[in-house]
Amino acid sequence: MVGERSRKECGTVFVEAAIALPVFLFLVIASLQVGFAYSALTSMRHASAMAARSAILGSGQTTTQVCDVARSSLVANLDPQSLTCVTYPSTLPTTTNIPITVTVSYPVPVLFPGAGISQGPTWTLTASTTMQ
Amino acid sequence: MKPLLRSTPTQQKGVILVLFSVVLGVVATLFVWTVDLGRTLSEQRKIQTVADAAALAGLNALGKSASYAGMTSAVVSVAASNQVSSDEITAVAPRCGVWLDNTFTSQAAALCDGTSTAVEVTVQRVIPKSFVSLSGSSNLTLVARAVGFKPLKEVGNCIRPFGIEESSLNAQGVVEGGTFTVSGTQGSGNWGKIDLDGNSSSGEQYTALMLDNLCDDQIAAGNSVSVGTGNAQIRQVFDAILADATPPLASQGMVFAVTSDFPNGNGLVQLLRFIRVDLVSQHGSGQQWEATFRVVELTTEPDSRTPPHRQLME
Repeated sequence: MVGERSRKECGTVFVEAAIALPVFLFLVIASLQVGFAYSALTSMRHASAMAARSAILGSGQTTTQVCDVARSSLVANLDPQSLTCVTYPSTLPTTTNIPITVTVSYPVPVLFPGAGISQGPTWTLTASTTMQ
Repeated sequence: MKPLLRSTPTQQKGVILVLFSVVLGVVATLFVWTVDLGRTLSEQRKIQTVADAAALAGLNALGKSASYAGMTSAVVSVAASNQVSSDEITAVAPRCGVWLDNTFTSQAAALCDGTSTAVEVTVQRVIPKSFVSLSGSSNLTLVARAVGFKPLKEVGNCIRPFGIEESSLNAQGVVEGGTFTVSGTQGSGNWGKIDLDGNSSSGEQYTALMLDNLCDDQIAAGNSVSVGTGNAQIRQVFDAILADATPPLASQGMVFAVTSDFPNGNGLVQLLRFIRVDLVSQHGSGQQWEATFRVVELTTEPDSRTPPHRQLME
């Protein structure tokens, strides 16, 4: 009887591990994904703030110049060329006291980068800053 | 006889699940903590950015409306544009003040006017925590503070043909960063035009020299110079100085002479020292004139023959 029961339960540990491991891996990958998304979002907010600041203080006089400031302010291993940047108004005013909004968008890979699957689906994060 | 320490397959059934449950609990806890920490840092960074933007907007508004209400309105407006509510940005009331030596000194709301050079903004945001902390609070209050200030710009270090009586400054108890007022007519008031090099006696000459920087090798504390005459051009000159909007502003960092009391009419006045000031406001009618200045340096030394750093009028 013991031998029969042993044969019936052979592989139980393997099956249980096979069920648990994907859940565990999912949590690990989700943690990395969330961490990377927060990091990217923080960097984008910083970039939009720097760009808006340059716009209101006059050091950035055109949308191109302002967006260059945003790209050069990116950190966290984000690719500046993948950053989409727009301003509102689209033509920057020459007078002061007019609010200027800089909005930046970045396609964050859904699976964590650097694993050879970065060409997969992306999740576009957006950050904007208004200054006057 | 069965070994006591050997478990049977029946006893092993479910061991992985039990262990996994324990590990899952730990990992899930770490995951939530990670999310909490990330969200907290992200929110902190966000409200700091908004505080920075609001302070700059407040400072900008202050330069235009010169009122506490105007400044606050701009602060709240920019905060709202950045998804920060009015409650969050006015929980600690925005303040105006002056910025000197890397220190913000607040002013009463009623004094929030053209003399203010800085605006302080504080954003408070309450965010829920995923875990109730040991203290029992389920919320976390984040605070971000920013001070926007107008830097004191140097226009040049050349003395301009304008003197202020030292006795009046002493009577007003002036300090660096503080303001003082000059008023009245030349001679009978506490100010006067001075003829630094013999070329600033006429109204036109005086105007040109005031709008530029006048330097003279012979000017030093202790010298006596002739006083200019009449009140001609005085308000027009300071109007032009105030109206200049090209940085560095002509109204900032002017060097004047601190003198002995001016005589009524022609005569000499002694140069006691030099003072660096910003022009805050001026008004007048007829022969009466009044202006408010803010002290940048109580005692400063003018340069000799330094080319003017800026040209106000071509």
